[in-house]
Amino acid sequence: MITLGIESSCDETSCGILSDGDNVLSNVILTQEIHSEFGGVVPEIASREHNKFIYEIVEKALNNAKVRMDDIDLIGITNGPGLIGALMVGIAFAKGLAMNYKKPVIAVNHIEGHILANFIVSNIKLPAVVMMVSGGHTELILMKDFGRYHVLGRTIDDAAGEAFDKVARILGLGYPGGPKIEKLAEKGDENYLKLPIAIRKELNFSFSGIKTAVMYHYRELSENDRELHRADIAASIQKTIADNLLYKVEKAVGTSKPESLILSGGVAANSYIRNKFEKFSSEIGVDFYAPPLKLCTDNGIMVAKAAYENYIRGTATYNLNPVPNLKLIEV
Amino acid sequence: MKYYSNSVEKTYQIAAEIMKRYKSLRVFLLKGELGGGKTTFVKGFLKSLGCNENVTSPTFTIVQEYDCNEKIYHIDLYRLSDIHEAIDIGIDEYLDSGSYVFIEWPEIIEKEIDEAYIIINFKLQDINNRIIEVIEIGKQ
Repeated sequence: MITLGIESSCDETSCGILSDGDNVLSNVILTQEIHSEFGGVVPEIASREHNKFIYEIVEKALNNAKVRMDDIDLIGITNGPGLIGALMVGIAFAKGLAMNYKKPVIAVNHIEGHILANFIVSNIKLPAVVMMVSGGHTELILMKDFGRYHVLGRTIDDAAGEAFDKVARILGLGYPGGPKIEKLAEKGDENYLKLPIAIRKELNFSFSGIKTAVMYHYRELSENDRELHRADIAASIQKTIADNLLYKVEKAVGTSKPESLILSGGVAANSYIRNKFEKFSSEIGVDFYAPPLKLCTDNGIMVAKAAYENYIRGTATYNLNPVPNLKLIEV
Repeated sequence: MKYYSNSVEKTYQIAAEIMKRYKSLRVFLLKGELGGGKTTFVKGFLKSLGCNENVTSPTFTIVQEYDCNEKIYHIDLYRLSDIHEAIDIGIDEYLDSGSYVFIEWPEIIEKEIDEAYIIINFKLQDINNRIIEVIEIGKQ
């Protein structure tokens, strides 16, 4: 069975083609293609414009996979959460494909896509505790089975990835900030700035205090000291974010007793955080999984995977209306 | 009009007060540096409506939509480069909707807003103290 998945919920336009549940035939992500393939220079920041390239992206995914639309058995499309306009572009395109080639098309929750991305490459024992962290999302989820999720905690203000970016903004490192903080942190003293675990008693997260603390601290430094301590601040912030995540994960693992721990979303690309999670998992004897780097950010193959799993399990959603604030269905 | 806040609760209270004073308006531009309390302000307003939605930062998602008794849109234009991108994400539809619209980093569209609005300025004095100032310049 061959599934075509399209993702266009916010910044990224992507199409992936999956054979059965685990064989990636192609996964084309626009920002990674744009310079070489389409000639134009599209600034990272203007990426929502990328929706205009959806036709080329799908065509390239088909070509790379060496399949034609006639070979496709199922189409999956993200219907939320995301920007209404961006979602609509993807949905309209998927509907058009489905009608023209007479294929079933089903809606996929972006968050479920990120969770299931891990299952393409690994056989993961369930239940699992999933820490989904990106620029826009921070969700701690207990996954009992496919389609059975329980949100244990989420951010009450900024997402973890956003904390990276906002600190990078304050330090004048530019966008996107995550990779820049990680690089700079290598040379820094992570104990330079000590920040607490926020809202200790809950499984929810709060990251907005980090930017305020850094902002205030940085403002008081002389130009010379700023230069001197920039790497220390980066390292301290990275540690603080990792500690905040792990503290709640440890709590969740303690009460849920999962077989596996999964890190997913864009922040899963941060190797410092990945290593800390890995170390923690091995200490407590739980299997640890984080997706390959290409599956961390928004991509089409995760949508194909979620579509496939829901389709074969009879839990597919055929209502394709875009839902900007779509929540994960809790069972 | 200036308000002074030294806590999250105080910011909630100020939000409720400002929103009550300008209850006929629907468009609010939130300006000021990082950590000024813009998202906290929106959180406070939703609380004052008795709405339990979890208000989070729209910096990455660009638009956060909340279903209270009516729709509330919390928008952050920081990651957009110009007005064309703002139009692309449907800023006109949000502004025309008649729903509450809060816009952070509104500078790229400010001159083009037809609806009546006020500016709410957030300033971080020190780690605990913030000044929240209302500036009435909207086309009434």
